[in-house]
Amino acid sequence: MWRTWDRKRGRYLAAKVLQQRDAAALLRFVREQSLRIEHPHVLAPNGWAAEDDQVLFTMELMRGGSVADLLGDYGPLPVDVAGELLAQLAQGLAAVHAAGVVHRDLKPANLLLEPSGRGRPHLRLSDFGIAVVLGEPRLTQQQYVIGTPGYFAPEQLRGAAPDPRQDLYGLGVVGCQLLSGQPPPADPWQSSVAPPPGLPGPVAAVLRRLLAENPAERYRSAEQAAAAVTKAFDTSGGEWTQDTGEPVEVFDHLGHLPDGFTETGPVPDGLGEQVTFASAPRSMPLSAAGPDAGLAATWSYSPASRVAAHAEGAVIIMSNSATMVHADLIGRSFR
Amino acid sequence: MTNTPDVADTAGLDTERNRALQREWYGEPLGERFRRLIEVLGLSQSRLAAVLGLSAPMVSQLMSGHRAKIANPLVVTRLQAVQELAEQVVNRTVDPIEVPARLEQIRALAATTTTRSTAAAAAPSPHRVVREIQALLRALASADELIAASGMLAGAHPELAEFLRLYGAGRTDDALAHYEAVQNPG
Repeated sequence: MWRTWDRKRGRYLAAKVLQQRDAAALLRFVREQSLRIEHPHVLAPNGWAAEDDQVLFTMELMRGGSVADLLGDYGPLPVDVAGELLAQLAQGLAAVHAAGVVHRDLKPANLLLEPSGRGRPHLRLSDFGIAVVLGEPRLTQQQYVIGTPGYFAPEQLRGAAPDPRQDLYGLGVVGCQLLSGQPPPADPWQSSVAPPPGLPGPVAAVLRRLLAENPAERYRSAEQAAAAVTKAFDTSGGEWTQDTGEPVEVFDHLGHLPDGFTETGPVPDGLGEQVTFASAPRSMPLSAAGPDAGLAATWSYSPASRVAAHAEGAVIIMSNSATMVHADLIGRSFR
Repeated sequence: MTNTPDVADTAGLDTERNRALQREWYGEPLGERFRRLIEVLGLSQSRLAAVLGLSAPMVSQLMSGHRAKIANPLVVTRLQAVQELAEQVVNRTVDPIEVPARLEQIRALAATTTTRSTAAAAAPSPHRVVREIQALLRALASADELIAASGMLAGAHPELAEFLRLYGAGRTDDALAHYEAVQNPG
C-alpha cells in the first residue's frame, strides 16, 4: 500500500498496485457504478488507473492499522471490543451483500481501523481483490478454491458457487480469532474452528451458528448476524479495556510524511513536485519504485498506449495536461 | 503521533511511573531493554517490532513509557526468546550468522504455544535454568578446564562427569535435553 497525493481533491489517499492479471476482478468491481458501496464499515476502492500490465487502485486512507495489528499488540481481545468489531464487520457485510457482492476474504489483515485511541473502535472491511459479483456469468471454470486457508467455508472447499453465507462463516472464524488471539488451523481439511472455551453462553452460541457446517443453519443474512452479535456481546457499556485494566488503544500507524511532502501535499519546488512536470510521457513501472525507492515516482500516460484513468470520485491525481496521469507515490509503503 | 491525549504535566509523571512498573515486571524499562536488543542483534526498531509481533506505534509507546505493560502474552514469550538469543550472542554461544534464522523462528512462534509458555513464565523456563547453570560453570572455569575435570571424574562419578561436560563445554540443546530428562525421568 502507498500513500498517494490526490491532486484533484487535495488530500492523501491509499493506493495499491496490482498486476493486471490479479486486478481483473477488482477492476470490474470498481468500474461497475452500481457497485459503489458507501458504508461507514466498508472501504472499497473508488479510483483506478491502468498502464500496461499494472493497475493502481485508490481508496480512502485508513490510519489505524488493521485488526491483525491489533491482535499482535493485545492478543485475545475482551468481549466488548471483539463484539463491537464483529458487529461493525457484519453491518459492513450487509451493505456489501446488498450490492450483490460476496467478499470471500474476511480475515484480520483485511479489516482496517480508524485511529480511535482509547475510544470505541471503528472498523472498515477492505480488500475486495477476490470479491465476486453475484449473477454475473463466471467466465472461468474454477479450478481451485480462492481465499485464505482457514477462513473459507467448508462448502467453498467442495467447490460451491459464491454465496453470501460463505462470508457469514468467515465472520465466525474472525470472531473466534478476536476472542482467542489465535489464527484458525491453516489446513482447511482439518479445520474445525470452534469458539474458545470460557465465553459467555450467548456469545459462543452466536459463533457456533455462524460456523455451522451447513450454510442453511447459519444466519439468514448479515443483518441478522449483526443483530445477533450486538445482542449477545452487549457492547453498550463498552470500556474497551482488557481484564487487566489495560486500555485497548488503536494508534495512528502512519509515520511522518517524508521530506518534500506536507499535510497539504507536495512542497512546491520540493522533491515531491518533480513529478508534476515530466515533459515527455515517460513510463516507469510502479514496481520499480519499490517501497524503498526515492521520494516519488512518476507514472505517466500517453493516449497512444493502452492507458486509462478513471476520473470519477476521488481518483488519481490528474495533472493539468490531459495526457498525463501522475501518482505521487511517496517512497514508503505503509502496509 | 496523536494517540496519547495525556495532559502535559501529568504525562511526565505517568511515564516515570510506567518505567518503574516496567522495571518491576521486566527487570528494566523497556526502552533500555529494546535499545540493547537492537544494538546486540543489529536490528532496526521496526525489525524488532516485527519479530516480537508488535506494531511500530506500540513499540514506541512501550519504549517511551506511555504504556507500561506488554498486553499480548505471546509477545512476552517472544521477548524472552529474543533476550536469550542476545545473551547467547554476547557470550558467544551463538554465531551471529545464525541470528536471522533464530529471529525468524521466534517471529513464527505460534499462538498455540501461548498457554504453555505463559504457564512456564511463572517458573523460569528450562532453557533459562540451563543457561544459568552454563554461565555459572563458565564463570568458575574455562571450557578446557571443565572438560579436564570431567575426564578426571569419569571413572568414579560418570554422571557428574557428564554434567560438567554437557553444561560446561557442550551445546545448549544437549544440555537442555539432559536437563529435561533429569526433570522428567521416564
